[in-house]
Amino acid sequence: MLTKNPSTILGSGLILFSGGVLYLVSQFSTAAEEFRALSPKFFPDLLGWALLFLGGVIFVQGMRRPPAPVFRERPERGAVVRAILFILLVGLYLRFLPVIGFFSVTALFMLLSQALLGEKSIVMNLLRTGVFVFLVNYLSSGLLHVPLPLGPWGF
Amino acid sequence: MTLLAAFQTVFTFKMIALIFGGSALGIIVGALPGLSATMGMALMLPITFYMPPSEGILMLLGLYTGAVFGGAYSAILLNIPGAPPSVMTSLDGYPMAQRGEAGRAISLATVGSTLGGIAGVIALIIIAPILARFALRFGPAEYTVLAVFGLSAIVAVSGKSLARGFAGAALGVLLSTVGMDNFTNVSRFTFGSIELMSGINFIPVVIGLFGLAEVIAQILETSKEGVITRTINRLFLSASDFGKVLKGLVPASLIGIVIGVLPGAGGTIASIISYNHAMQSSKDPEKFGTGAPEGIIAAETANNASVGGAMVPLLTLGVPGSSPAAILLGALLIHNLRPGPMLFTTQPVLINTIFVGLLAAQFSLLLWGLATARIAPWILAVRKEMMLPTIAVLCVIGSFALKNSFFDVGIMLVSGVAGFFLNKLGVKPGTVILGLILGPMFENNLRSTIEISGAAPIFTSPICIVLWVLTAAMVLYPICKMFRLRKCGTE
Repeated sequence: MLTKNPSTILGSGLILFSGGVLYLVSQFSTAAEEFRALSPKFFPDLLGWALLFLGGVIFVQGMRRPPAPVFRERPERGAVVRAILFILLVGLYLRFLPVIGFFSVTALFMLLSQALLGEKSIVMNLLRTGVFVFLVNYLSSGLLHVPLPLGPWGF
Repeated sequence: MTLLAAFQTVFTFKMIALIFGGSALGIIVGALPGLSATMGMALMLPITFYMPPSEGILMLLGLYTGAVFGGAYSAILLNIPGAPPSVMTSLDGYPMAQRGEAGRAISLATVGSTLGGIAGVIALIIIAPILARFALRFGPAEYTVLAVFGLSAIVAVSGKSLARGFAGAALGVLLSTVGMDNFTNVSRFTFGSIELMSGINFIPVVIGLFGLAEVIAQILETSKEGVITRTINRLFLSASDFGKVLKGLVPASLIGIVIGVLPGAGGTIASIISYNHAMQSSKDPEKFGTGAPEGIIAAETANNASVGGAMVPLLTLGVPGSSPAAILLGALLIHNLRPGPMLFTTQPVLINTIFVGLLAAQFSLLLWGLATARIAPWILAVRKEMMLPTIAVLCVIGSFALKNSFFDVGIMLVSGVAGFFLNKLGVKPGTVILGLILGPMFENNLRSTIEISGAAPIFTSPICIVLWVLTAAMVLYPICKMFRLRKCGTE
């Protein structure tokens, strides 16, 4: 889909989004607005209409003069799969960070993501992971005193 | 006295280590194609929360200065500008490297950048206090129009489509309205979430838009690895080269400073204009693009001079003219320091520390530029398999570290994915960030003005009128230029 006209995709996306914004603005509580010069609805409402207008303009621009596609060359299927898996890995990283702590989950994430992105040498992968996790942990906890999540085993 | 105190603050081992460390990191970030000054600063921003303001700001300034310069490495050795401001450097730098003069090209870029940067800081030291004194007269009406003037930077950073630029800014402003309304305590777009009551934190959004989004883009990008020039010969410049640097210094620095001050323009435009000026005023314009030292000097001097220029509106008016400036603003805000004229009155030592620290950062460029030139090919050979997971972890840790909040990390993840798609659809992340920062400034001041004295001062105050004229010029000039170019294209 993204190799098609980006203006029509963006334009229609903005129109739909602005519809949602305008609906949500209409649901705001209006109890306090009579005391103030400018309603708390005014600005978000204005932005909703502005997005609707801009979405329309971008959509029409795309119909009249189709710009270059989003991806000039269709990305390789492998690259798309890698990108999706990478985002999933980041999601899992977030999920397990508070559970098993920074040290373990970062090591696992680094090992898996480097392998996913094409690192073939297991030794290099392990070496980089070890150095990186140690460095970040030392810089954060040791030098900068940034509290990182700890696992059940205390690190 | 404050200047002396600033020197005493900066010239300590810790401060110098932070400035030089930031600068070295900036050079690496700038040199690696795909990584930008904004991304590097966004990743380091949360760390500054755990430092005193002067230390954090100076580390970020070192990083900013280093990254603007670092792009020259890949421009010269790889023919791929590591950062947009180095786009003109590659035109002459790469041909020089191909004929075996890579070391000379790097030295020219280093010396030009250092001298341009120093000129930019001197201009900042002279202009900023004057402008700040003048800005003390500003009230809510003036700040309302000033926010509009700041938003006019969108015209410059939106790329080819103005509508996309405005849409990006509108999305950013909309994000800034999330949370409890300051004036009426009405909840806006909170969906009953307690975390959203206090609004969307600016830092995770920046990290997502500039960090994670770029990681996703890099994974999808078909690898276009250039051939790295690995032989770095003599680094010391001849007397004739120094003569060329000094000859090009004044015009390139002036262009860089003036362009840097303008919202949205920044280093890339400064280097393009300076390069064109050097070519037009040269006796041998045909040499440009084939490895002319004057081309490197013009581009590098101007883009580093623009760093000092960009700090003028940020420090004096609180208006960030570019994405890196927006991150510096964020760094000040997390320490409850609001840039603007009052900062010059309430924090004179901090302001002077920034001046002196920025000056020290220029000297760090000279040191690192010459010391790391020979290892530059190894820096450029860093592989994606290692770089991208590292950035992803830093994105997560950076957005978590600020408030120890996993909600912020979630915001970063969503911003990263959304930023990737928006970027692919032509909406530049810089426009969203400008909207996110300037939105509250506009809304709060507009509402204060209306409440105090109605809307009239926004259109009748003399300062507002001047700001409206400047805004109109900033918006209309590029539009007129675009139409003229289109007309020329059709004829």
